[in-house]
Amino acid sequence: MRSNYSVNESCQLQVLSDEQCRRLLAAAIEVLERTGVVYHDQDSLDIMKRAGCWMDGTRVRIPGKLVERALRSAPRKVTLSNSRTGARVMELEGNNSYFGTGSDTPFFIDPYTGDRIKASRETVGMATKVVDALANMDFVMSMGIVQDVPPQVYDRHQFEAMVLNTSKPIVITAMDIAGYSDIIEMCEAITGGEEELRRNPFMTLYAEPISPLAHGREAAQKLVLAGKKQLPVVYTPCIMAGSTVPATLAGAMATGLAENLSGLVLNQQTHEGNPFIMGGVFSIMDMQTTIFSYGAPEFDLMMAALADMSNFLDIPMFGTAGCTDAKTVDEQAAIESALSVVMSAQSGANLIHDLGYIEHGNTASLENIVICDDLVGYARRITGGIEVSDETLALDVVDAVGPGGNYLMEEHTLKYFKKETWYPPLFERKIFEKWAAEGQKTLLKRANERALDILESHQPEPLPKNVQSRIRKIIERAEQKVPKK
Amino acid sequence: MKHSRARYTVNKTAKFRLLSEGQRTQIYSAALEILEKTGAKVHSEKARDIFKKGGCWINGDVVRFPVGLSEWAVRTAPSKILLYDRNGNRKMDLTDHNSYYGPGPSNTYHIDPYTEERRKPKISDTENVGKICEALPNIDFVQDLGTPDDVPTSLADVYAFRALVNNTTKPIVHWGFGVDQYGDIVDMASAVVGGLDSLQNRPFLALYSEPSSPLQHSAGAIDKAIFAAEKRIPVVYTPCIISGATAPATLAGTLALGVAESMVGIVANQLVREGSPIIMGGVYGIMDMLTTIFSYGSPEFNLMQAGIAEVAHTMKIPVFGTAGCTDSHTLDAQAAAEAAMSILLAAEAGANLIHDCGYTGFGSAGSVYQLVMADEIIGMVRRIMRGMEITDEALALDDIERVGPSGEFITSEHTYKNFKKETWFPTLMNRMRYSEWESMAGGKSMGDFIKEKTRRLLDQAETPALPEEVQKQMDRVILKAEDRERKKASGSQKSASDK
Repeated sequence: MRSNYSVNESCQLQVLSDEQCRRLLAAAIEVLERTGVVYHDQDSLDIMKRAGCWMDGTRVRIPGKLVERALRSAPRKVTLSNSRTGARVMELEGNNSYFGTGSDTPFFIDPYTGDRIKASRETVGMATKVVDALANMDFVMSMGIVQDVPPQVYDRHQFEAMVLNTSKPIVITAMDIAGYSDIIEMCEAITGGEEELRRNPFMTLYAEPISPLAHGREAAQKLVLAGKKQLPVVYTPCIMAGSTVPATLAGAMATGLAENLSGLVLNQQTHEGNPFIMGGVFSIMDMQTTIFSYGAPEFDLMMAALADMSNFLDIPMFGTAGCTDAKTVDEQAAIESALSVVMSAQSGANLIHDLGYIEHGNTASLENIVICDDLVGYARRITGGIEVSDETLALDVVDAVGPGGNYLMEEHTLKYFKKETWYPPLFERKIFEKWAAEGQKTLLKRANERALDILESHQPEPLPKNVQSRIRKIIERAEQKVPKK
Repeated sequence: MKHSRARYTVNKTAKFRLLSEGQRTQIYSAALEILEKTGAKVHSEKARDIFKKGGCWINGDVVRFPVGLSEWAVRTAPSKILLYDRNGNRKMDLTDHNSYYGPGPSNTYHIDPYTEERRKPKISDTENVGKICEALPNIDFVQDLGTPDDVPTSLADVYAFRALVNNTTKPIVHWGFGVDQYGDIVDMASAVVGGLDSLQNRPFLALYSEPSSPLQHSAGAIDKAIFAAEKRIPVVYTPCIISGATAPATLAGTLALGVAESMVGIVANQLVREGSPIIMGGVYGIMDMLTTIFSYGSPEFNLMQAGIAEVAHTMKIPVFGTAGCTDSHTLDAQAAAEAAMSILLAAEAGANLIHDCGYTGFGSAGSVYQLVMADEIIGMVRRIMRGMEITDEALALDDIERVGPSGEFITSEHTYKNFKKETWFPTLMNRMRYSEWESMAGGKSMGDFIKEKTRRLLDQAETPALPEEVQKQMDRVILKAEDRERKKASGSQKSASDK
């Protein structure tokens, strides 16, 4: 008999104490009350005015009580499902972590030639197919902005390219409310109706404010539409410390949080209880090169602190990891991707995107996606912790094997080694002679082979033919509205 | 801020937790049980006598340790060990969650930093390792990264030590074949600082000794723990323990067994001199069941590193960790990812003396490229562990108000004042835009930059030479050692021919 024994069934990483979280929240609320935010959309301004904000043209100051009310009404959990079966596959709450790719990169690394080419319908399809095949990837973002169609309808084409190639949940971007509406209609065709989609969504919108402290017209309109349709939305900023927000990490976070919260208030005022995901891409501007860094340690730190805030506020969080400033999938890419993937899992971010991003978000790489799939396996095993129990301490086995014995043939070993260990598909552990004899392949080479293999042999679950044609018709309808040159 | 604030507890660093306090004491408790119930084989009569006098039960060469004796030894072992550089400056405070990084010892192969050939190490490689460690800001101590092959075999350890101490001022953690060679090394180290007394007071040297799992302590291993206590030099007494082969396939079982291995050394060491400085920990990994190698890159490796650090913290004994290493045989993305993950976990868990940066091919080859890459990663991880300050100055609410919605902070005075101390500046990570990277950086990979930096550091290396008199003393130690080794060799030939 034993008492008073509590165990950790995972590991955890914490940057901010509870009191530091509280202080950061207070700071964000002060920004909203004192400085306010700008909404470049009349509809949104009306909503905020009716809610009781202090109005000054497009500048809106939000009383703390509205923020607190929004925090209370926002659900603690957002669920996303498989688009073919309707099975609930992502429960975004607490410290459940799911991983997926990133959206809208201008470029793509051709896995056949190694060339850096413009993203297109075809490349989005390829990337989606790879994500669909990988065991540790849970959701899809486009990994490319479709550029070989009229730009006004890129979003519909992009969605089609994704939804044809995966059954996993999809996080979409949209030009504007027309694009978002069309995509919603396509999703309703897939689920079989508006009610069905609302009850069991497989898609969530991603939209972002403009730092610092401004909500663009299209973004605000999309946010309001999400509320009206009662569909989940990720509405989060990409903040750049030293450029669009203060250079100090605390100041950056306070501003980023204020942007999150001002989006949340608008969303909850449109529909109380709307599924809302906070978070974002919080990083620094590199002062030497002026890029928005996707690999800096400050990026890792802020993302972990954001997870602390998300836990403190008890709202699901959009995280960022598996990305790099490197221009090729080299050692830098691996280091930056590994650190962010592991830290995201350890800090318990929920919907973790941008896996596979290279060149500070400009280029998508199938090789990096594939490597990140292994890294997620690492992160999951590490976060899974160590089980300490009588069975695992195995004192009887130690006694039986004794000094100088061997555990290889023990029944205990046979019983437990599979449960206790995780074997990465691509990371190799061969002796030198064997590795040399097999061509001295680097991880990049093996990742490329795997990506090509998936492209050749993987078959995503198709959509029914009538649904596919329904989607096509929606796209054609949208294209007809595009003014001819 | 004009008001006071109560109850404000902050994280001054990032905080990490794997095992609960209860889980840690479970593991320690299991180790105590192993030593009392199962015992360990101790292949040294001298050691068995010491254990017997201490109250152990001896049965042939199996020694069983009363729980009370083990616990006493753990209590008397110091919780804090200071290591200094060769000039007597305090460099490492091994206690609590202070973390320091360095390379590893005695690889069979070494990667040539100019030709990239994988070959047997030479004494010139050892000198290079000393030089590189001296130059790398995030490397705190030194090990040899390869047993030199071009010196008298039974004194490779002694020659390596001399090569290191000539090329670096940083603290050295060093291994040795046997107690004789340890004596040579201590004599040389004493010469460097002007006597054994000075060395004991401000050691720049820690010795290393390794038992054989499961539960076997060769004469070589255990006598070193005793020697270290006699000479009052800090010693690392830690296993390389393989889950599924030399330990149970369960991670917790491996931790418990590993703790027991270190504890045998701790008991011997403390019985010889109560309060002698000793370090536990080790290299904890799994046997890969597909390839049968001892993996230095697995996630379980990282988990057990964190686990052993946490158990050691609860036991209040400084801990020897492992990181910056890889199973990859070449400098590639796998080598980088594995190094990054282990360096991160070691820092998160707060291991103290973290070695093996530069180990590649699961330890078969030492690589200064890997070491240089590890240095960069450690810089990143240091920044992460430093955490985030939430203060009025940092929150910058006045500046946010001044800039307002849709403004910018690039030209802000606050930015200018703060960005340097808020951010880490890479030396190897490239953050250029694509076109600049192609034109100004030659489209190079990080691997290219690492190799260039390594060669540059070697070319520019400049460690102050030790005084002539010290050099002469060290030469004398080596001459005496060579003489002794010759006698040993011919002595054993004679007795062989007598048969």
